[in-house]
Amino acid sequence: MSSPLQSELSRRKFIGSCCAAVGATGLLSTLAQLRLIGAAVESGPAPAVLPGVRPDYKALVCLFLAGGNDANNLIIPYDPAGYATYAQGRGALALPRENLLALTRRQSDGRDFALHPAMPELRDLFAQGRLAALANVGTLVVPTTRAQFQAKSVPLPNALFSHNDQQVQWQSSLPDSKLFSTGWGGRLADLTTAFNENNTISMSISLAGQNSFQVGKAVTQYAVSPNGAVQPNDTGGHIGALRVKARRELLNSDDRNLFETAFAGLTNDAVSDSALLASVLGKDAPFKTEFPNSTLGRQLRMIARLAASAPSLGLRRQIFFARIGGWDLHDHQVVAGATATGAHAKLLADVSQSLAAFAKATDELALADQITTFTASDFGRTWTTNGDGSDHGWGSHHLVMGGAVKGGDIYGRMPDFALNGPDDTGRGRWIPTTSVDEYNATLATWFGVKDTDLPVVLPNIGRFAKPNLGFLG
Amino acid sequence: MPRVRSCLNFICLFLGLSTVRGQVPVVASGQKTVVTVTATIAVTDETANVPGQIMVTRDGDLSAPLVVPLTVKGSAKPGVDYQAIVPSLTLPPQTATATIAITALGDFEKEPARRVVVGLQASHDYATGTPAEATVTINDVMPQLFIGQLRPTAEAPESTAYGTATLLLAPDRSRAKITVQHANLTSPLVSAHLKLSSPGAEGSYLVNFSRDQRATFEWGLQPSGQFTTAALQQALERGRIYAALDTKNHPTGELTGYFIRASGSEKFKTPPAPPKRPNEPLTEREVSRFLTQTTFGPTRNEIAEFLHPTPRPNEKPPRPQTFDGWLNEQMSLGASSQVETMRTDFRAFPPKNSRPRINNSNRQVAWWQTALIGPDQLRQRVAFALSEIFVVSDVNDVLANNAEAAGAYYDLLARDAFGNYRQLLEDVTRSPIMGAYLSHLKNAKADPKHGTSADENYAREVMQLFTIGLNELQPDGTLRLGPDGLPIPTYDQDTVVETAKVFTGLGFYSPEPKPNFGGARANYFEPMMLYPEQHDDTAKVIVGGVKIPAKQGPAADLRQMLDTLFNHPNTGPFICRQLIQRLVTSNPSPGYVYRVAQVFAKNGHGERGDLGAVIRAILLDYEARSPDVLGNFGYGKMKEPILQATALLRAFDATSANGRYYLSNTEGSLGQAALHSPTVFNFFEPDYVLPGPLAAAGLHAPEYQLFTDTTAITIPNQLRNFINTGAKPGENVFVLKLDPLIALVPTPDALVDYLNLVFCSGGLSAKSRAVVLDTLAHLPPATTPLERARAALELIVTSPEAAIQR
Repeated sequence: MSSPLQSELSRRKFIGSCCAAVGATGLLSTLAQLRLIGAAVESGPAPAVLPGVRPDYKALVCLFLAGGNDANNLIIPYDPAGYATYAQGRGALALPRENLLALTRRQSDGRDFALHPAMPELRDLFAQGRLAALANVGTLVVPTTRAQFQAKSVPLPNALFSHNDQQVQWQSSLPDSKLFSTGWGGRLADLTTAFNENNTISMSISLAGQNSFQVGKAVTQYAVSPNGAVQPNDTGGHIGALRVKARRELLNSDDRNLFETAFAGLTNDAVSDSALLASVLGKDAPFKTEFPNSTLGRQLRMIARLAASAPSLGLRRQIFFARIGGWDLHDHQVVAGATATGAHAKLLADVSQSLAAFAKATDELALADQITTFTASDFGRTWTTNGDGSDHGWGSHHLVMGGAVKGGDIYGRMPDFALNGPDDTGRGRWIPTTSVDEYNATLATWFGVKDTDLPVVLPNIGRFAKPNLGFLG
Repeated sequence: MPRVRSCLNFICLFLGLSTVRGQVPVVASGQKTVVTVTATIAVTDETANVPGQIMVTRDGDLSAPLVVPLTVKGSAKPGVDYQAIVPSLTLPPQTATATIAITALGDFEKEPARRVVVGLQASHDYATGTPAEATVTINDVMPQLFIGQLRPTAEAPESTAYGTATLLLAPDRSRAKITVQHANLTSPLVSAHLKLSSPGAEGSYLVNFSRDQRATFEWGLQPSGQFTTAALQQALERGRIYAALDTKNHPTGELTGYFIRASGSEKFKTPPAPPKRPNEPLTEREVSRFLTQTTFGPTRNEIAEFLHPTPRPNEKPPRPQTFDGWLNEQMSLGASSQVETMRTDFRAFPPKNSRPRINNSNRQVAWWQTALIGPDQLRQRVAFALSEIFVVSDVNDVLANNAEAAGAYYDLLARDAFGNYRQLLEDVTRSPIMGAYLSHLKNAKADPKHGTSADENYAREVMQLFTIGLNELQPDGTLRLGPDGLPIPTYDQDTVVETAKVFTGLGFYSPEPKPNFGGARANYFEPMMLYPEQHDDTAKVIVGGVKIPAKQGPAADLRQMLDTLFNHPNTGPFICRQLIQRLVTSNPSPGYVYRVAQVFAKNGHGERGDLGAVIRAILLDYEARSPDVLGNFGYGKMKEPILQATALLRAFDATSANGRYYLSNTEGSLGQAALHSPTVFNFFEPDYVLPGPLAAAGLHAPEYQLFTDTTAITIPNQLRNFINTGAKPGENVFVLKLDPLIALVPTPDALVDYLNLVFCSGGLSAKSRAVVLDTLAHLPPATTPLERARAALELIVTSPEAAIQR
């Protein structure tokens, strides 16, 4: 009578044993086949590796800029002609050319670009080949031209220019689905969790609470605070120990109403899981790098610690979610007369310093090549200003960072920065020239998803030309 | 159990056979042995839990073995109705008796009882005594029904396919008859199979079946992979076996559905009436329980006032309140207005930005303020329940950007809470907020030139979620089954397509003489207007085959559509069950649903759909009021986390320094916020099954759908934060008034009684009570009275007894 059903202790542990059982049966779907590969990896002899070096580990970090980043001021045309168009088009928002941080690209089409002056750290990472930029990415149902947009002759993403909808669509990669069901990070986790030895602590960890990105079917997202595991808050004070003891006793009473039994069981599971994570994380970070004491800096610092803990948790794949808000800058985006300062510059400086610290910490952990960090945001913003800010746009530039990134380049096609030009839908809301699906597919492929399995993670990928944009090696 | 039984049987057979082979003539010494046969277990049934038993007895000399040949007759067929027995029995030396088990075989048919008659054959070795014949009766048992509603998987979000899988488990659990039907797949079916796992996990394959649109097959629960037959039986009963259909476009699964034990019948039998409740004076516990069901949480004063109302000056002392009287008073109160509260809050606390506008913070303030101090507690509690059936959510940007209109939608629910369901259905359908959420706002008729068709969203959900549900129901909410033993779908995809045409031509209200369907100014407050030129005025066939004639115009179409849904026999039991689930218990008995649904069908004045009468019937029913049901181990429900929070805040009259009822981001800590469901399926679904003992008992546990590894910690943390906030609270931070508790610190028993009454309706177990008292006794002497009060409060508020409403 020893079946896995006997152990009611933890649903999550049960999931793990299911994967192994697949091998015993004949019929395998693509998903099951991938899981089988994962199971085979598990059962093979552990390769002898140097301590700290984990060639079979990979992590993705989604850095979500909530509110819609004005990427028109993240990557700026720098050659004289390009800058002139920029300065004229952006008016009060234009950054002075002399402050810009020029980017030296490995391949150039003759146009030059520069980074916002608040981001010297990222300029350096770009120069070192550890940071790439991706031009004008956005949500698309199918590739779309201006004529098609105007005639509405192709389906367009639901509720363009709307925060919630576009945040969800960036995170689901399903811009034509009316009802949200799963995020692409969740689907990616469902597919790749077979690589993990243990599911006690989910491979999908959010540092910023619930999000759409990590909603999966099999793998649930697990919330961790920037200070560590979310634990019961009754342990402190001079009577903490007594309170904890009593709480445990109250949860361990037997002979109860079934609803009470379930409540006690699930609570006990959750508490023991968080205690496990806390013990694995330990007290001190296993690196010396100092992070900015910002919301983002603290989130990324904890992500580095969680990545370092992956072996103890039995995880070979992790997906993290971090979020920084405040980008919806309809007003006061820049300081009049000193446009390189202001609210937007502060946010970008935080991103630059926090990401640079994260890169340094992953160097210390010898994990730089195995963690790829990428930005995402609701949408870009209008090229033209409303006076002291910008309004909701569409396509937007993004950044990808990590040792595996073929950096020092801008991938994809920059829009034609002309109002009423071929990429404009009005006020410089650029039609994306690269789809979110292509961006995500490139990341998923690096993460270990085979071409044939890509549609499981990104169902619409077949509609676009480039399932791999080439920015990851 | 089955394994043990078949072993015994096997031993009997083995002994019988071997002795026949080694037969030795026995010489009678003196008196001839007399043999008799009796049925020691004369009645068995198709579950074979207790097999029938026949005993053969001899007297006299026991020194030698005795072979007794038997006759086996009767209406029961060996090998079909029961496991065939060897027609002979051997009594070993020194043994006077031996037995034979009659093990019934379960089947799927409805049959009369059958009999196995075992008689003694005449023999030289013994004399046949009396009785010489014994009868075992095998009673019929109906198979157990399990139903899996097939829904699109997460990998197939665009799919509108659906289906039903039914599984009849033979009474002896040895085999199952399965039927799977589906419709509307995106692409050809490539594989169909049963799998085993926890919900949310990728499962193990058990068996493949036919890819026909309707597949019927038998499954023998053969051991598969690591799973034994016993493990498979257990998995089925625990809600862990599901049917999965893989299609060309979705090779990892387009439709799946877990089998859940269901009750259903072909012919309806009226459930028996509940026992009468004795007319005894109310107790504090009963009042607390009632107020837990009807308000956002009882307070000690409310309970006391209920039983011992304060006399008014110069009046006789009033009589204690009654449940009926309390309901009358509550139902006569007008609705608190969220919109008004939002506006007042906005004026008192204007946001500090250049373009201030009423936003979602104001709406959340209005919700919390109303829940905590609104006088119309019952109405607001019902409105909240309705907001979880007629779901709209500010996850949708239209609601997020029109917070005031979202508040108006909530006011609509509160206004209609005790009105007629037909009016509620009309108001919800015409609400531009609902129109924006389920996209029938500006839903144009099909345009063949551009290849567009009517939006099907509202057509589907108004049937599936707001009125009739997916399968035909008996008047008690159990499934109505067809002659084939299967549920009967209420509608199919064709019905959805036809119904979608009814909901075309609804646009923003406009006062213009020639209103423009596409261009009318957004107005999310006034009910949507009907634009005849955008309405599909062709003939339609809707649910139940009802015909809507052509050229009726949009108003008549809509009226006929909503009348049809309102009058559908499903609507009463379907909605009543969910209202019972929100207010009283997750698993009402069919009798409870029936009694309430009968009131939905006809109030005291022959009116259908009187929600006030329905609410009254729910709350005054035997199953809501009688303390007798409290001991049933599947009775009750988990309190929604947001209601756990309101209960705590109300119990101690929580207020903030600036008087504002503001709580940010409760969806993070509690997993819930009013009108913030992640999907149209609410935070949880009425049929959610939590794997494990609850599922094994066949119980639904809706609220557990939002109890995750994360919220299992953040919910009690949030409750403890409320309790332990004090001293230097911020402007917007709630602080509890704990003075009444502190006063009881010198008498720990009274302190625990107080908390037990308010948060557990007196249901704290003796063991839990001892744990709390013991903890209080062991606190160091330096512990302040406030700390003692807080310790007791937090232990009880986060205990299982407080989390579960009984």
